[in-house]
Formats: sequence, structure tokens, C-alpha cells
Amino acid sequence: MKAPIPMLSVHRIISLARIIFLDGLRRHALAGLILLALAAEASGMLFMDFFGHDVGRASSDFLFSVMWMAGLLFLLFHAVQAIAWDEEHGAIYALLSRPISRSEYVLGVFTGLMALLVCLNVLLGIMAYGTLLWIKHGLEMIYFPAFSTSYFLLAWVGMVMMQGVMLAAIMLFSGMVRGGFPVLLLTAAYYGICSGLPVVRASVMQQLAHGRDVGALNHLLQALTAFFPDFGRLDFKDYVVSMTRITEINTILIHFAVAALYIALAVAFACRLYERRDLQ
Amino acid sequence: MIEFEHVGKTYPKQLGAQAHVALSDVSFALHAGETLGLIGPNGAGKSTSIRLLLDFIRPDQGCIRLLGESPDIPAVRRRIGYLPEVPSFPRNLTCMDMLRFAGETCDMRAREIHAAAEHWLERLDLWEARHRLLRGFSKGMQQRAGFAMALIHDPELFILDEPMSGLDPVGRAEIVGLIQELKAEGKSVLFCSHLLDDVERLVDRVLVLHLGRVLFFGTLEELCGAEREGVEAAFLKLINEKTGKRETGDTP
Repeated sequence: MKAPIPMLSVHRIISLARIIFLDGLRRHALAGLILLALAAEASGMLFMDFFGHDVGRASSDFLFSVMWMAGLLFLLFHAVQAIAWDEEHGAIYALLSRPISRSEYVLGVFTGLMALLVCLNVLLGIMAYGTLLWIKHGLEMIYFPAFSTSYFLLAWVGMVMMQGVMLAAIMLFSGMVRGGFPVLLLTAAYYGICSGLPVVRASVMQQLAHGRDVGALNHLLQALTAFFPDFGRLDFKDYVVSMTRITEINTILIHFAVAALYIALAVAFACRLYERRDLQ
Repeated sequence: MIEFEHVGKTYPKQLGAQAHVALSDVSFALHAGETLGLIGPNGAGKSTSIRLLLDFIRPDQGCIRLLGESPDIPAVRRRIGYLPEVPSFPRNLTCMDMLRFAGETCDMRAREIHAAAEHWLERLDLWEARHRLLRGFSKGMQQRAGFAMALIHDPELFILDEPMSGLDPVGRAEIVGLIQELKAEGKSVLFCSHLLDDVERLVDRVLVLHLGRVLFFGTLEELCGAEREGVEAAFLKLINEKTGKRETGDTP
């Protein structure tokens, strides 16, 4: 039987997203993750005692790494389980016996998880911002010469966008395979390829510059970036404590637009896959 | 209300498991205001039939109509109350969270949801526990919470998968009473159960499935025959006749 093209209802998607959000919010493990990450960020205040120079950069890198790691842990240990848990424990029958389509289910889960992810990052972002300000005010100008709130926000949005891309990929994998562990393996492989591909591309570009015949490989790697995006394009944390300013605003906007399009396409594919699949 | 026409379903071959024919050429119908009992031994295809009705899985052959629509149209489920065999919910939600979700997806207003939730949770003795997390509920309480979700939007058709499973005798009597009330209100009910006493008390017609095929579809009187034997004896006789086995006395 051919699956119909669903009429999506924002009301029903938000309704489902609300319970996904509440369920996550009340999960003790997530509360523990938030507390641990906040404590790690607070420990950033100790940085100025260990670094003689470039305290600003060291602190900023550390704080953004903590935020990124916390988001990654959320994705790998909570988000990959979301749909798999519902299927394995039968909760999906209680949800899909309501008048919601499979696409609305996927969109509801994605929205709920994304809301949790944004909340986590808002909390950690506020803490990171406060910590950086505190460190800057406690030091002389020479040790922490520049700090930009707007670049901090840009770096924060870029990081949340990267996590959004990962979450969209998780939704896609959840539509493709059954069970939390296979989704975890696929997500880990995806993250590994996304992180490694730019390094391989840089190496191939170097070989190309030296006149080696690796043009076909270069094209193949370039094509692969359509599936495995380069997260580095959304990474602006170096600018937070730098005197250098970004001049290519349009390029940045294009990178954000491409990432948003990637998220939309991945979630749309996940919906389509889930519409066609038997629940067993 | 429900039309099953020559429906077949085979679960495809998977890693470590052969392809399995779950239903083969199954036809039956449930009319408005009727109560139909789906009975059969384990693996007969009862749960598969119910999952097909709810569009959790799709048939390979045949046609299913639910309230005049195809089951893959989500809006049709606005008119259905479904109770799964083992109700399971996201672990960190309360009964009220789930009922709010259930009501909202059926376009009920907040005030209507609250009034209906209060009515059914009082009726099912869960009102005091409405703000407790569902993970702390006993099996019987989860079953009753599942029933509240099925009832909150006042559907016209109920699909109940083993509604008495896991309940103590008091809870079981309560649920039987509730189904009888729904019947009296003219609601249509399809339920499957292993408890043939309950089937005997509640149904107008009965569908007996065995190994994915229909063995019998008709009234209880027709099943029990002129000898007026009990449902359990008639059921066992039917199964044994079809499988060529001697009567063992095992209950399904």
C-alpha cells in the first residue's frame, strides 16, 4: 500500500515535542550532564592561574569545548535513543495510536530534542559568557586583550547549528535502522567522517598543488561533503577573543543557509523513510 | 466500522529470522454498535490484525477499511480509542502529561481535556496519582492509564488488545464493567483476549484465528453449537478439528 503524503499539523508536532521535552527535562542523567558541564565551565575560572599568556584564548577554547562535548554527549546518549526507546518499549504505539502521522512523529521528536539541546546550550552559554567576562575583568589588558559579545553569539549559534546537523542525521539514521545501538554506531561513524574529511581534503589539495594526478579523488571528496558536511565552516570560536574581524559576511550567511537546508533535507528524508516503514 | 477483505501479511526475512506468514486471506467485518472478540492461540495473528488496523504495519494483500477510510489516514484515529496489550509510555511523564497530549492531538481544548481527564481518572481510580511519573505505576495502573488515554476523546470505536492482561480480579471486573458500559452506550468494540470467560460475557460475535487463518467467524451461539457447550470447549474443539489433534484441555 502506498504511503500517503501527510498533511502536517504544527499543533500536533508541538504537542508531541512538548512531551519529548518534558520527558528529557525530567531525566536524571540529563540533569547530571548539565550540572557536570556547568561545574566544568566554572572550573574555567581557574585558567588564569595556569596560563601566563593568551589566557583569553585558552579559556574560550576550553569553554566552547565543554559546550560542544556536553551537546555531543546529549546527542550520543539521549537523542540516538529517543525513537529506538519508543519502539523497543512499545511507547510508540501509545503515541502513534493518536491522530498523528509518522512525519509529525519524527518532526515532533526532532523539535523536542532540538528544544532540549538549545536549552542546554543556553544554560552553558550564559555560564561560559559569564566566566569569560569574569576572567577578563580579573586580568590586565595584555593577558586578555579582546573579547567580543557579538562573535561569542556567532560562535554559539554556529555550534548549536552543528549540533542541529548531527541531530538531523540521527533522525535520518533512526528512520533507516532499528535499535539504539545501530543508530549510535552510524552516528559515531558519521561524526568521524565529518571530522576527518576536511583533513583528507586538505591533504589531497596539497598533493594537487604539487601536480599529482588526484583530481578525481578530489572531486569525489568534494561530492562527499554534500553528505558529510565540514563542521569547521560553522566554527567561529577563534574570533571570540581575537582582534581579527570577519569581513566575508555573505560567506558566513551562505554556510548557515547550507546547514539549515541540510537539516531540513535530512529531517524530510527521515520523515519519508519513517512513513514507509513497518513498526515491529 | 471495520472491514477486512482478504488481508495477508508476511513479516519479511530478517537477520536470524525467516520470513513469517502472520495473516493469510483474512476477512471479517465489525458493524456499528457491535462487539467483536478476536480469539486464538499465541501466534494466531490477533495482534497483527490490530496493528494493521492502527497502521503500525501495512498489509501485503487485501484491503482494510476503518470507519470508511484507509487506516493510513491519521485523522481516522481521532474516532478510535486504542489500548495496547502492554501500555508503555515515555518514562518521565505523568498521567496528566499523556492525557493532555492525547486530547491535544484530537483538537480538544484545555478545559475539555481537564474535564474529561478528571472524569476518567476518577472513574479509573487514578485521579490521586495523576501527577506521579508513569514509570512508578504498577502494571495495572499503567493499563488503566492506557484506558484513560483511549477514552479521553470519546471515540466511537474501541480497539482493545488484551484489555484485561495483567490486572488483578478487581481490576479485571472493573474493566469488564467499563466495556459493558461502552457497549450499552452503543460504541463499537473490537478486542482480543485469551480470557474466554470475558469474551463470553462481552461479545456479540467472535472471530477465531489460527496460524494466520480464519477458523470461525460468527455469533457465540453458532460457535457453541446445538450442544450448547462453553466457549472454551467449543474453541478447543474447533482448534483440534482443524489441526487434527486430540483434545488436550489446554486453555489458549
